[in-house]
Amino acid sequence: MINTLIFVVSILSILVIALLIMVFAMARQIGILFERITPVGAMINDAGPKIGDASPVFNLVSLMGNEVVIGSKRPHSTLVFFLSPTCPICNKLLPAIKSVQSSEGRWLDVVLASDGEADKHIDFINKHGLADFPYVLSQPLGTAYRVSRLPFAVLLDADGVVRAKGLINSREQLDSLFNAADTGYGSIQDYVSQQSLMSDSFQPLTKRTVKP
Amino acid sequence: MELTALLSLGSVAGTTFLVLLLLGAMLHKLGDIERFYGFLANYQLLPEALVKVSAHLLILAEGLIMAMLLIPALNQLGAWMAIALLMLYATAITINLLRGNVHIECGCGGPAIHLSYGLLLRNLLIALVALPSAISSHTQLNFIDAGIGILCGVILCLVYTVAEQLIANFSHAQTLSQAKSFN
Repeated sequence: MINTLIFVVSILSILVIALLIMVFAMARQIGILFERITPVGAMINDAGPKIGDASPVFNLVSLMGNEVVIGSKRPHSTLVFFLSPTCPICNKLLPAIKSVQSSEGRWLDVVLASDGEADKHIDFINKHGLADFPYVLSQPLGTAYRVSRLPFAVLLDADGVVRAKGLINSREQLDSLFNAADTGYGSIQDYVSQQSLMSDSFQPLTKRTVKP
Repeated sequence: MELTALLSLGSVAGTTFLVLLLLGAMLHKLGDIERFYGFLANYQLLPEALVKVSAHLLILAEGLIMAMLLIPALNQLGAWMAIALLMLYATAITINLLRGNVHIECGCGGPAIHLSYGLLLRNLLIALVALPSAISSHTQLNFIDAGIGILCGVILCLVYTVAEQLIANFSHAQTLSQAKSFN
């Protein structure tokens, strides 16, 4: 009897552990799915310049003393990346930003933007080797794009039109900005809602056009 | 089965759980220490000059407590200190919750979780699991009992990992449904 009990308990323990590992694997996969389908668009706020609108024009001076123009006609597209020295995810994304600059440099200029006291930002630039990037401090710039949380990115095309924007939490989300610019859909949510609008042709028109 | 025997089994399970938890937390912090400085700075509890020092002290404390838990003579003291550390973290979280500063990441290790009252409940539950280790010693256990205690600790740790992941998923799902209602 006691042997049977020991046997049953051991088998059950192994089963519980195996099941827990499987549940964890599934939960993790769901988590990864969520991370992938909540890129850019998830945090798009309708305030600020809309996708397809012309960006306000800013003439700024970078911390290195160079002139930086955002929003006007330029030879390249511009990625304005809002960050702060104290934001952990910003630090995590710096290598991704550097690799984007080197791989997409043919058509894209990356501009780093923040606000606050200059000396902290200069320390930050030296510590992370960001001297190659134009780095601007401008509160009006952040206000114009309604940046409420960091890191936030805005992609402007060569004509100064906003092509994509949103909160960036991972390398994938950064890439999805470029996808958004390529496909013309601002976000995956945008894409899904456009698709469902097309397929739900039986839906009453009023229901479609009402927006909160 | 008498209460002391049960308590010692609980003590072994609790100790195993705490050691695994602290190990995970330490590795998470050491794996990207720059990120941990950022998390700690976001709590806005310390002057900036002290952030790095405190980050190192916290990691050291976690390591020290883990070592104490593994030494039988210091096990009980280690468990008390683990509870104290959990309460310290809970206090930091509470202050920021009261400030309304909920959009910062907890930095607890594991998946990204924003601050919420759920985290306080979680710390309380972990402290509860640690309690048997703090109030009883487990010197009179035989080999099989110890093995079963450790097994239970490992299972607890697995359950905890799953729960943590599910909480993170839940907050993702919430963000997604909020985003939908905006559009």
